[in-house]
Amino acid sequence: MVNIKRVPTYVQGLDENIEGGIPEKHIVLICGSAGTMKSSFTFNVLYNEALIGKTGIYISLEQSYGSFIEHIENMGYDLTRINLIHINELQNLIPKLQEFKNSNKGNLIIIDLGCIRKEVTDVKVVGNRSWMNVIKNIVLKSKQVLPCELLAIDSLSALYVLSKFENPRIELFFIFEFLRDSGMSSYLISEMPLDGSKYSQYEVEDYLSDGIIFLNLSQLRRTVVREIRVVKMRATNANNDVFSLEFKNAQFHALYGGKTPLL
Amino acid sequence: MRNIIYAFKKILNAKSGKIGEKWKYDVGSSMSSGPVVADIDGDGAFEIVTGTNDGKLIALDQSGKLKWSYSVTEKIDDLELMFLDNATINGIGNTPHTSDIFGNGKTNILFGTELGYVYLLDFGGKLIWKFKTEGAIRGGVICNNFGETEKKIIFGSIDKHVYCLTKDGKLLWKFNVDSEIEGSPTIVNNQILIGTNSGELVCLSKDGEFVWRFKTGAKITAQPICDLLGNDKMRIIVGSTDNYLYCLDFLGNLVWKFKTGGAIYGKVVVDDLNKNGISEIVFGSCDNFLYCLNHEGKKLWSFETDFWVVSTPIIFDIDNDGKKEIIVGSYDHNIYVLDSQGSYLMDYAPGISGTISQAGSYSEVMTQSPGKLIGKKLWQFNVEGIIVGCTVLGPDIVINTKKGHIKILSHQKNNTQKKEV
Repeated sequence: MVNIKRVPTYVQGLDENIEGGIPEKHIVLICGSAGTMKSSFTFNVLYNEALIGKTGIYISLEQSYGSFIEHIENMGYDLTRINLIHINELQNLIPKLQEFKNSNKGNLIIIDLGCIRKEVTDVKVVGNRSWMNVIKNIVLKSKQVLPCELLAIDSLSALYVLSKFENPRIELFFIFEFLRDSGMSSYLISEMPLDGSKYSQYEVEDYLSDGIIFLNLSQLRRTVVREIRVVKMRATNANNDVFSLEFKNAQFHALYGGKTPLL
Repeated sequence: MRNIIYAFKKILNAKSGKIGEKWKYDVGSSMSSGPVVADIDGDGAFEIVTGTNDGKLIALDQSGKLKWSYSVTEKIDDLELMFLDNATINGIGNTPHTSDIFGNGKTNILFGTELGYVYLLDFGGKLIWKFKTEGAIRGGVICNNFGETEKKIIFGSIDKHVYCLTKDGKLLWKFNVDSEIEGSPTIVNNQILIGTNSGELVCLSKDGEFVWRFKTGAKITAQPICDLLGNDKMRIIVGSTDNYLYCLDFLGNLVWKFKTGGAIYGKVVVDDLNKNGISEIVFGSCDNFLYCLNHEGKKLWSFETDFWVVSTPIIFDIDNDGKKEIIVGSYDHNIYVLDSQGSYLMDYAPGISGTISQAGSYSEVMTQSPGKLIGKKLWQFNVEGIIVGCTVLGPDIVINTKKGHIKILSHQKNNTQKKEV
C-alpha cells in the first residue's frame, strides 16, 4: 500500500472518513451554491495549515480583503497566530513576501485581486495580456520567495468572467496543467447553480479535478441543515455519504446520521 | 471461407519492423510548434530549425548537433510582465519559414514572437532586421513574390491586422480584420487567405484590399490550403475550432462542410492516397480522431487516438516499400503510423481470430466479415510528451514535443541504439 501524504480538511468527523485528508498536490473543487460556506471551508484549511508552519495563497477575485477578514474574525479565528499577508498592489508582492522570509510562523497570503484590478489602469488587458497570467505569475513569484504549498482560488466563476474563455475545454485543461505543475495542493471554489444541476460551469472541471467536495443547504420544512459530501477523491477510500456540517468556535464538524447537532 | 482467405491476406500484407528513436535533443524549454527542415546554409545537408517558448531559434544538423542558436531578448516593464505568460513572453509559437528572400541564393529564416516582433535571420542565425507589431504573432510568417520580382512578407497579428512588409522589413500595408489573428496565411492566385479569431476566413488582394470573407462558428487558427480536388477543381480547405472542416470555392462560397466532434487546429493534408487520380483529405481534430475524407467531404475512414490531434499529419513512405503511410502525432504522447488506405473492419474470423490480432489491426474483438473501412494502425511509438509538430527529414520523421524535445524517429528493421544529445 502506498503511503500518501495528505492535507486534512480540518473538519472533525470528515477526515476520519477520507483516510485522514486530501492527498497532497491534489486539485479539488469546493462546490456549492451561495451561502454554503465554501470560502470559509477553504480558508479553514489554509489557516490550520498555516498554524503548523505552512504557507498558502488565497486569491480572492471578488470579495475585498476588508470584508473577508471581518467575516473570518467574526467566525472566531485568531489571526495573530499566523502571518496574514495582504497583497493589494502587484508591485509590492515580492518586497512584502520577503518581510516574512525568516518568520517562524506559517503564512497566509491573501491576494485582493479586486483591489489590484482597480489600481491597474495603464496595462491594456488584450491579446496575450490577461488576468489569468497575473494569477499564474503571482503564484510563481510567491513560490520563489516563500515555500507555498497551498493555493485557493475564490472563485472559478469570477475567474471565468475575468478571463473570457473562448474555448473553455481547452483553456481549462491548460489551467489545470499549470496547477498540477505548480506542485501545490489547490482548492478551486466553484459556484453551483441553485438547482444543483452541475458541480462546475463547464463540467470539464469535474473530471480534470482530483476531488470534488460538495457543500449544500438542505431544507426540511422551515429547518435548513448544512451538509457536506465528498463526491470524488482520487487515491482515497472515501466515504461518499452525506454528512451534516456544523461550525462552532472556529471548528467545523461533520456529523453522521443520528448524532445530536452541536448548535 | 471468405473470412479465412481475407484473414490470411491480412497476415501476408502485414508490415515488418518498428518505429524507433534515432536521437533526441533537449532545447531546454517547452515548445508549441513544429520544426522546419531545409538546407539553410547550402552545404548539401539538411538542417532542422525550430523555435522555443523561451525565445530561442535553434538550428541542428542531421545528427542532432547544435549549429547555432539565436535568442530573442526584448525589454519589458515589470507591471506589464505580470500580465504576460512568463513561460512564453519571448516565445516563438509557430514553425519558422525558410526562403531565399533577397534572391541571392542564400536562405533566410522568418519567424514571429509572442511579444509581437517579426525577425529575419540569415542562414547563420544573425539578425538582418526585426519589425514590431502591437500584438503577439502566433501564426506563421510567410513570404511570396505575388508574380513580381521582389518577395513580400505576410503575417497576421493579435493586434487584428494582416501585415505586408518589404523584403527589407518596411511596412507596405496593413489591413484591419476587426479580430485578433492566430492563424497562418496562405497565398493562392496572388491573393492572401487568413483565418481570424472571430471565425472568419478573410481573402485579401496582394495590395491589401478586401476581396471576400467566409464566416465559421469559431476561431480559425489552421492554415488554409488550396488544392485540386475531384474533377480538377481548385478548392480552399480549412478547419475551424467550431469543429467543422470547410471546403470553399475561389470566391469564398461553401462547397461542403464536414462535422467532427472537436476543434480543428491543424492544417489539412491533401494527397491521392489510393492512387485513383482523385485526392483525399487527411486532418486531425480535438475529438481525438484523425479523419480521411474523399473530395466530396464524405468520410472514408477515421482513426481514434487517446487525446487531441492538433499537429498536421504527414503523408510519406516511411518504410520505403513504395506505399505511402500517414504519420500523425497526438496529444496522447504517441506518434501513429497508419496505412494510407485504411482497412476493412473485420471483427471475427472463425477459428483464427487470435492470429488476426496483429499490429495493424484496429479492432480488438473480431466478429464480422469485411465491412466498414477504418483507420489501420501499422506502428505506434510513445515519445513521452505531447506532440506539437512533426515533419520529414530524408527517410526519418522529426517531432517536437511540448516538453522541449526534438526527436528523430525512423522505421527500423532491427534494434537500433538511440543516442541522446
